[in-house]
Amino acid sequence: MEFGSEVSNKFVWLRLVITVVLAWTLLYTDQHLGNVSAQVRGQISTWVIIPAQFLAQLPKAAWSTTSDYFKSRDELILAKRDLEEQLLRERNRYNSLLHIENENDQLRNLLEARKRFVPDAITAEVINTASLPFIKRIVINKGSDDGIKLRRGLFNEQGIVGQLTRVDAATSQALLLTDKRFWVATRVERNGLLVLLQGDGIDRLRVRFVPADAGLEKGDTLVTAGGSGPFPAGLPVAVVGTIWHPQGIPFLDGEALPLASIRQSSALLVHNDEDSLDPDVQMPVEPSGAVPAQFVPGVLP
Amino acid sequence: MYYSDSRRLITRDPAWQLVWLSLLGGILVNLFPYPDSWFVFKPDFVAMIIVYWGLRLRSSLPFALVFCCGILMDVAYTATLGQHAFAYTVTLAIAMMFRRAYLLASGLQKLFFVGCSLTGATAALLLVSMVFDNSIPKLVDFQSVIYGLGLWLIFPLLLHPLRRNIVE
Repeated sequence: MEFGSEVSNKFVWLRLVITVVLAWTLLYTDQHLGNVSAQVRGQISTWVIIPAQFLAQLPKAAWSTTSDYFKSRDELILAKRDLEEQLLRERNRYNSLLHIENENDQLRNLLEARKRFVPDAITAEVINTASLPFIKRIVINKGSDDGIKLRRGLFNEQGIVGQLTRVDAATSQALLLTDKRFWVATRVERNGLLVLLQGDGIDRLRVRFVPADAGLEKGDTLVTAGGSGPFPAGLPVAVVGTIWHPQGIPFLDGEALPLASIRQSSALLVHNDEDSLDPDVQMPVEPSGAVPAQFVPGVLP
Repeated sequence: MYYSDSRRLITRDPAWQLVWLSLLGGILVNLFPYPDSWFVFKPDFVAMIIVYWGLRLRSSLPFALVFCCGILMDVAYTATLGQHAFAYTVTLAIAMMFRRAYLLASGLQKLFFVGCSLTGATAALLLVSMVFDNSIPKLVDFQSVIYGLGLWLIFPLLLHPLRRNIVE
């Protein structure tokens, strides 16, 4: 069978115009009628993409199973010994943490302060990264069927990674913290100074709205400020890199280096506490993907 | 059957199942969980296969087929529905526009036509990103074109078993 005759090739431009119009209609529909497209997306995902992802991941899974199977007995004994030692160390650390937590609770009760937030999180795995470098997004293998909800924060053992911007039935999309549309409120671990960070679109974060005389220094560790945001308070975010004071502006300018990297680990945690998000607080990116006007890059100093 | 010039004889296209299979393979390769260190080197394999067939098939690759591949990639990447569909159709149109010139071109000239087609795919994705996400494109966004071109040097060898249409 041939795809088309020489005659039909003459209508290439007509067919191009029709498909382009169809594509832009879909784009517009997806942006403005997210609920309708979500159903289509869910069906395609269930019947085509999930089986395809299963197929695509088979070689990796097979390799992992085979290499595990052939691990020598000695290696396993050594690994077991290491784990036992680690468990012992962690148990000691846990006991001391319990003691500190009790002490902390007593102090907070005395101050009638709210108890420190304990993150309720769901584990997820990165199954895909965006196809092009300019899209700072990842896809994880958990969706609304697993109890995942929109706007939740993503983090790993190193710190925060991003925020969910689209949730389908079995998968979810997250905006990475280095994306230009990502904003996060942080505090300097050393002195509690509030610092607003914005992704620079490449691999770093920009320091925003910090008064020039606030005392921010290179090497300061920034942790999430908490409040009504998508992340619990106290998660590591970045380390302050170079900072400078531009003439004529009362704020510092600078960059911060993110502590978490998705390239080192594919396992992530999704912050899933029901009460942590204030519904009135607007997210950097709307569920449809549109960016509210006040977050458009370029309107800030 | 017709002659594109005195040296090349274009016979007939491969079986349509093989072309479909290659596109399906491209989607699977795109979805493959690459080691994290390979992340930046990953070109869009579906776009490359579309360019390959767009430049080499005597008749047109169906736009509807390419469009559907784009929709599948949109769902897989949870991108805005229509983004890859638009990019792939534009890519196919550019590749088909260069088809005759490609057949007559020498090695480096061929790479130029492939580069133009892959750049079209990236530019189309960037355009959608600019309109709907307010993102500002940078030169570095086109690095996947460079990696795609690098891979193109061995790419025809991978698809060679499917190719029966050109006898030089």
